[in-house]
Amino acid sequence: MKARKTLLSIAITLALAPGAILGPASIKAAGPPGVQLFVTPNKITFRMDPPPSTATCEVTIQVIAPGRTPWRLTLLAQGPLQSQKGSQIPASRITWKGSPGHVFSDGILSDKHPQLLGRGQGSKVGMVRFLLKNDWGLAAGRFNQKFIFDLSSP
Amino acid sequence: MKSKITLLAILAITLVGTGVAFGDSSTGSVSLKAEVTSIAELTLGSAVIDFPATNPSTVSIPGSATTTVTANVRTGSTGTPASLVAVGTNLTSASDTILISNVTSSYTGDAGFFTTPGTPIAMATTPVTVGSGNTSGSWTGAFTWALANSWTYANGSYTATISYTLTAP
Repeated sequence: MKARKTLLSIAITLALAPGAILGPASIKAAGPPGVQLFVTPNKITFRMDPPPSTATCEVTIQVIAPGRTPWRLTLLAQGPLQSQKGSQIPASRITWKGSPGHVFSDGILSDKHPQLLGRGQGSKVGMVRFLLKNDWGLAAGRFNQKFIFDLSSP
Repeated sequence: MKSKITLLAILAITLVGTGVAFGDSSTGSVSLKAEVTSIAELTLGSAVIDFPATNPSTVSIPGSATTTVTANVRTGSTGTPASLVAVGTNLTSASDTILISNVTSSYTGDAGFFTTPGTPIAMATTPVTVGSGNTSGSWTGAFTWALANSWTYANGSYTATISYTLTAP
């Protein structure tokens, strides 16, 4: 009975410990192995030549997932591309082509709903080429925005 | 044994409750920059306009062709606008001269970049604004020509040059 109280006490202490630091063994014991995402480079620049050229940028995506852990990768823009002078370029003007095709899909960027960029099992490496369609209607300026990649595993 | 099971159960709940990532999600971000520079491209359709000899009682002599002007401009939405200006030389025939201000062009088409559709613009030896705006785009306009006729003109075959300059700051 005393031993049970002691164990219970330890458990409660662990439960209430703020910011409890858990060792890898505890994590492994408690849940599935983790998935990790690496995207490089983390800064890309489209240089817009005279229309009708299309500007392109590439990023390499590395998903690390132990064994055959399934995963899903989505992409979301945090808003339209914005210049300091107030001009905007809609996020939907950016499209992408993913490779290899059986893992990373093609798509159109959205700033409203995450778009599926890839899905697979286990570790994968791929490349995504972003394309920004050019035309004379774009206002001159320097535009900025951020993409959020979200990798999840059930 | 029962105590051990209880502890493991509580520990598992603890791990979930503290929000520690089990490694089932990971996020990354990429900062994007797009550099859209100012550009101007100008295309003129007809390069030669003739004004045939006409009885001076005819007040205005229409030009032989319409000039299609395509102005592709990429400009900032604020600040100095893009502009299209025309500069002419006087019409000359040997030592005789007809002032270029007797030549007018009229734009027909949508408003937007070109100056006042339907209103004749007198050419000059100094820059005359033909179009202006802060909206990027590809603008195309048709310009018709006219030469004001006069009994005072000396006989001769006159020539002049009108140059267009498109600027996107």
